[in-house]
Amino acid sequence: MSAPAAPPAPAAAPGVSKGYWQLTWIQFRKRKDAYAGLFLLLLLFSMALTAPLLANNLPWYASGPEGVSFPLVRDFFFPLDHLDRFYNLLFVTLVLLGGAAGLGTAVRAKPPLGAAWLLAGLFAAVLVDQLAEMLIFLAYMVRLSPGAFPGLLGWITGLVQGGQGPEPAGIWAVRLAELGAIGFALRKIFQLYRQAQALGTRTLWVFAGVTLFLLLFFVSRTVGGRNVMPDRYRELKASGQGTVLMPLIPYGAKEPDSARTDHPPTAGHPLGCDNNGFDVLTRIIHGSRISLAVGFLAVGLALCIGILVGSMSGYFGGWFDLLSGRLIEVFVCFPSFFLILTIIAVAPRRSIFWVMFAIGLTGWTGIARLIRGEVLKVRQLDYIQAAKAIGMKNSRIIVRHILPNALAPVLVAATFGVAGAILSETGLGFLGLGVEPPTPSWGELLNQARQDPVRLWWLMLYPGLMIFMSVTLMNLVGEGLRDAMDPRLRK
Amino acid sequence: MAEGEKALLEVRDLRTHFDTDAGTARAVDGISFAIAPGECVALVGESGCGKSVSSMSVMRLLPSPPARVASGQILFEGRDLLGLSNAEMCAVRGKDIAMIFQEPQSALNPVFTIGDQVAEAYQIHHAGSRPREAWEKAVAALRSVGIPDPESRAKDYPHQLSGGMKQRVCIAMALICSPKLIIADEPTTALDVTIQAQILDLLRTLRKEHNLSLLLITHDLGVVAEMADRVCVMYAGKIVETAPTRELFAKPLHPYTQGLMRARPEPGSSRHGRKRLAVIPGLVPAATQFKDDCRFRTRCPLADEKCGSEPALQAYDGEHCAACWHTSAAGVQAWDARDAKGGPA
Repeated sequence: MSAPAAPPAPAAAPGVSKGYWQLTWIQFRKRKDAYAGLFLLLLLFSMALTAPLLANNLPWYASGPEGVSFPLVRDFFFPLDHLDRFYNLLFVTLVLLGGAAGLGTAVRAKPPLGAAWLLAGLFAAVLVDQLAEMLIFLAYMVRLSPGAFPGLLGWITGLVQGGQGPEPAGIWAVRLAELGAIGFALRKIFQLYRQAQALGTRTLWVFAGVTLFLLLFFVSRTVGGRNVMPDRYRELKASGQGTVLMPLIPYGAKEPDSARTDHPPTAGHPLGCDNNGFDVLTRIIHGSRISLAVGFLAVGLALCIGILVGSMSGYFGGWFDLLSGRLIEVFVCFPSFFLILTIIAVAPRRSIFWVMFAIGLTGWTGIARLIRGEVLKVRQLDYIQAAKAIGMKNSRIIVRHILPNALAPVLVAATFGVAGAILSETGLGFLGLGVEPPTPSWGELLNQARQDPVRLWWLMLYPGLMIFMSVTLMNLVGEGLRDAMDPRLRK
Repeated sequence: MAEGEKALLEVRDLRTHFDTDAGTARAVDGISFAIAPGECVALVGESGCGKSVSSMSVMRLLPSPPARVASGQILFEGRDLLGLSNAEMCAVRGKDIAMIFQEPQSALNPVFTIGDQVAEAYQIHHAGSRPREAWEKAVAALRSVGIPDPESRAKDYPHQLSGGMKQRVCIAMALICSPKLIIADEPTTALDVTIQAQILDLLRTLRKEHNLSLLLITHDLGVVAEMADRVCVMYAGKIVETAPTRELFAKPLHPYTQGLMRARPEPGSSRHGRKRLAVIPGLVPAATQFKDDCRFRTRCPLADEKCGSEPALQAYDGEHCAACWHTSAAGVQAWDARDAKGGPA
């Protein structure tokens, strides 16, 4: 290249000056309370992720006349409940990714780490074993009941086995659509991988994680949940013919003990039992899954709507801006909790997903306004003009160039939103409008305490503490984030 | 432009108006010019004369409303850009016509690395290209604009670069799809003088290398003298004089051009027995207040009753055209006389 003589390199050496998020993180760590809050919040998260491993009526390990088995691990992969499946498989994905990262480190370490190699080998063995078990189980289930599987898988098994009776008319169209969708998804995933390759290792890890999670979820969902038989292992233990290794808290979240209704705290049940004979500690641990899921998914929905509406009205302006502005005003007019109650009341069935939907649907207005303001600010900057001048389309400009620069304040609002959503969910549970009864939830425990809060103090105190704690932690983290992002507070 | 040569870009009687509360602002009011392949044309004028609006009109980057192209044609390779759909226009921007902005500090997105941004410019017009290929093109483009060590620099964020470096990145972004025409809107205004020289040098080299046409928007006559083949002097939304650069500097015809030439700072100049900078008194009239007279009338030393009607752009000497009733060397003397009368206030 015949370039003119290069001038001396600019003053900032690579790696010396820091990016926006690095600076924010440094600022965030300076606030000790927020930092501690984040740590505790992560603990709460780990509790939600590992709930069935901490408190379960199935043993980790059982050996008896029928041989050795790991009932808890198997149940962990194939739970009955969708939400449980989500958390369990998220945990599995994280463990697998962590293990893979550890494996990579161990392989590349100089000098080689003996212990790391050992761990990596162990991990690989467990991984292969688990996947093999899943596949064998899948094959077994498919062979057992091909008609039970809807969709493409059932169609393939039907083909393999020569069909099972007449199919409804038009089913071919459904199959074809499915095939197209799967093909499209595969192509998209392939493209994403290609892009991720160019983007660097961190993105590649995220993509690997998401793909792994989706794969696991698909398999687990196809197999479906299984009814577990905790009594079998209890009998085994009672008979003394085998070894049964139970988790720390050996109670099921949905298995009541009718002999122990309203049982005050004892050594066996450190936080007592509730109206139905459920162990309160188990219910609180499993209930954290509901609370966090509602908090994050409801805010996620609110973010999706808010970002879509806010960015479009800020960027395009005109009649869309006018219309969405009025729509937001209409939504703001209603007291949101009553709006949530109304949505729940007309919902076709009681489910946690309707609760999330209702909370998310009422929470997007603030976010939309925030985004709109930010977009109005960002869109008149020169680099947006520059992006237009290189021929970029509006949609791409919004997604690539405006949103990343407009999202920071929204993140803070979202953190506070999570705390609000958790409170709303417990409020609904307290009114008896939350999740369906056998599903554990903090608000539902409070609801039970309502009949006699003095006598049943443990039903009020402990869930109350958990609600207080999680909301406080979210707010602490939100405040820390807000201060860390405020350049005026930087020293 | 020589006779018979086919123009790359031809602007015919372009009128860009803004509908404001104070009335219609005729920011660009009937300008025509043409750029031949490989030619560099400069649009010169003081702030608010409509240079930037003309260039933005060519790119169709003005928000509408309030902006509105009231009439005219913008022919790029014989195709009227004003008649294209938005999607077709997106395909022209960056691919056929690229733009370099005044402030490199704000023309790059702070949240992406410069390599990402240059590669993105490539990918927009090469759908289906592999990301790695785009990245390599970006690195090559960064190298060609004189960024040292482009492989590792490409991973830097804009705030890690100096202003001159950022302008080089912007140029790389403009060049990566090998456009035929580059519009440079005051590309060196925000840079200090040594960097200005480097950037102009770079633009000249690249222009020769790729046979680029360049539409240079500037108020700096020094830059014009150094870069342009031809100059269009704009005043209040009109082109008042156009000529090959050498001729314009040797013999400016329009009193406004003459005034501009005099207003150039000359270090230690003791010409006319003073060291004060010569100025053109008064301001450009507001774009909402334009009348159908000579718009320079209020500030012109030669103005008389004839100037109540609008002069048309007339050829005087081959390609040298001016829009004035009094085109002559008399203007220079009139400026001197006015200076002497006003004295160093």
